Amino acid sequence: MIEVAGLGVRIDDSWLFRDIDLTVHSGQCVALVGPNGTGKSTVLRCVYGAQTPTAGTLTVCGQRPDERDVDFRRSVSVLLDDSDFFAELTARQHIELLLHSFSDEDQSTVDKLLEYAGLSHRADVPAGGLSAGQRRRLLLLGAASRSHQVLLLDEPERALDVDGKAWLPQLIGWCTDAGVAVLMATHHPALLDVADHVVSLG
Amino acid sequence: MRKRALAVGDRAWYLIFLGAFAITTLVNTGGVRTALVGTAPPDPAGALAALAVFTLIAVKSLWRKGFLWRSAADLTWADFLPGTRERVLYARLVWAGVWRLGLLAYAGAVLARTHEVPPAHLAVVVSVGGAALLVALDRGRRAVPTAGRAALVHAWGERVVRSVALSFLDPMMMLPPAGRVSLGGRVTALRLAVIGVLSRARYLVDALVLAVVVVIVHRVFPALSPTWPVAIAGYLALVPFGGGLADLWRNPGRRRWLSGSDTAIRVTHGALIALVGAVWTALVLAGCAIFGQGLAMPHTLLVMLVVSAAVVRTVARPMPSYDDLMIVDVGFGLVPMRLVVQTVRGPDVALLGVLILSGAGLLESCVVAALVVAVCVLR
Repeated sequence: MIEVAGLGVRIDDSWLFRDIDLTVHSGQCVALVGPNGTGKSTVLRCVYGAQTPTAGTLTVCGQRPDERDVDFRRSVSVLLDDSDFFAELTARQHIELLLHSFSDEDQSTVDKLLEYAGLSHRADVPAGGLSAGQRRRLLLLGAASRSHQVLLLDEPERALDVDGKAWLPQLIGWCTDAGVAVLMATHHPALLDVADHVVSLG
Repeated sequence: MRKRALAVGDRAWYLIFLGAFAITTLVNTGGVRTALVGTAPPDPAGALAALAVFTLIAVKSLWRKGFLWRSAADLTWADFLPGTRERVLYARLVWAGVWRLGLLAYAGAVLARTHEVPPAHLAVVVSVGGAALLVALDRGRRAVPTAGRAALVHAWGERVVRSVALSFLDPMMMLPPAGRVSLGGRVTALRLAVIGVLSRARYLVDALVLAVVVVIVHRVFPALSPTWPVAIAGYLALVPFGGGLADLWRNPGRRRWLSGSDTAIRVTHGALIALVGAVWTALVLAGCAIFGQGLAMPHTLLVMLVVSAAVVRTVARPMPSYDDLMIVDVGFGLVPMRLVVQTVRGPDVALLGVLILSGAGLLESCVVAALVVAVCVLR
C-alpha cells in the first residue's frame, strides 16, 4: 500500500531527514516516533502528496502521491494539522455528508458511528460548539469511517482525554482489521503497542 | 493615546487629488450633468430619492457599531484610567458620524445642483436624514458604556483580519463566515452548497441595498451605461454568497469531507450563486421598470451570468503565493505583478466579459457569456 524508498527532505542547507525506507502493507500499522522537529509530520505530508520531497520515491496505492487527484483522495484518508470541520454543521451532519459523498456506506450506521466515537450526546450540536476533544473525536471518526485503503494520522492523541486515548487503539484496530494500511506519527505509548512496526526519526 | 496623522506620505497626495476632484465636480455642475445626465431633463425626485438611499446606507453602516473596538494590547496596558475606554470609543463614534455627514452633504450638494432640486424639498430630506443619522449616533453612544472586553477585542480581531487582507492583497480573507442555519434532511454535497449560501443570508439586506443603488443610479444618471453599475454592484452583492465555496478552497481540511471533483463542486456552488444572481437581477429589472428607466432583460441577465461566473472564479482561487512576486517597474513605481494577477482573479474575466458584452449583439453576448462560464468553472 505504502512504499517509500530513500525519502529525504532538505530545508535550506540541512537535511530534515534522509534515506527513509518504509513499507506499510494492507492491514498493517506503522508508527513514526521521534522528538519534535524531526520530520514526522513532513513524512506524512509527503506520503499524502501535499509536499514534494527533496529525494526519494513514494508509491501509495500503486500511484504517485498527489492530494490534488480526487481518486487518490478517495483512497487515502488523513488526519493532519490542517484537518478542519464546518462550524455550522453538527457532528451527525458531518458524518452524513461524508458517507453520502463517498457513496458506498450505509447511512443507517451514522448513529452507531457517533456512539462508537462517544459523540451520541453531542450529535446534534454544531461542531463550533464542541469541545476541543470532541472535535478531535469527530475528525478521527471522519477520517476512519469513510471507505479508504490508507489512513495517515498526525498525532491522533492530541486534545483527547483519558477515555479518548483509550479509544484510539480500538479505532486503529478497526481500520487495520478492514485491511487499511495505517501510518501515524505519535507520542502516545499505547499506540506503539498496536503498531506492527515503529520507525524512529531523529 | 496614540494619534495618527491623516495626511502623511503618499496618503497626502491621494487626499489632495481626491479633494481636487471633489471640488471640481461640485463647481463644474454642467460637466457632471453632460457626462452623467446627458440630454434628459432634471429629475429632482430621483435626486432626493438617491440622497435618501445614501443616507439609509450611512445609517445602516453606523447601526453595525463598527467603532466599538480596542486592541487587546490597549486593553491590557492602557485601560486603567477612569473614562479612558469610553473617551476613545466616543471619539471614534464622533469621527464616524462626521465623515458620514460630510460625504452625505457633498453628495446632496452635487445631486441638488445637477438636478435643480428645490431648496424646500432638499431641506425636508436633509432634516429627515439628519434625524435618522442622529438616532444611529445616539444608539452608538448608548452602546459605549456597555461594550465589554470580549466584544471589543473580537471587533478588533476582525479589523486586523481586514488590515492583513489588504496588506497582503488577499481579499478572500474578508469573506464572511457562515452563520447558523437549520436545513432539514441529510447533508449532501448539494445541500452543503445550499447551506453555504443560506448561512450567509444576512447579506441579503446588503444585496438588496446594492440593487436599490443600481436602480437609483440608473434613474439619476441616465447617460451612464447601466451595464457597469449592474456588474459592479452585482459582483459585490454576490461575493459574500461565495463564502461556502471559498471555505472549501481555502481550507484543505474541509475539502476532504467531500469526495467529488473540483469541477463538480464549482458547478454546484456556481449554479446556486447564479440563482441568487438571477433573483438579484430580477429585483433590479423590476425596480428599473417601476421607476421608469427600463433595462434590456437578456443583456442584463447575461451580464449577471458573467458576474456570477466571475464570483466562482474569485472565491475558488488558490491560496496566494508570495514566493516569486515578479516585481516590475511600471513607470510610477514597483508593482508585484504576480500578486496583482492573483488578486484580480475573478474580476479579470468579469471586466473582459462585460467589456465585450457592452458592445456586442445578443448572439455574440451569449457565446461570450458561455465562454466565461466555461473558463470560470473549468479552471
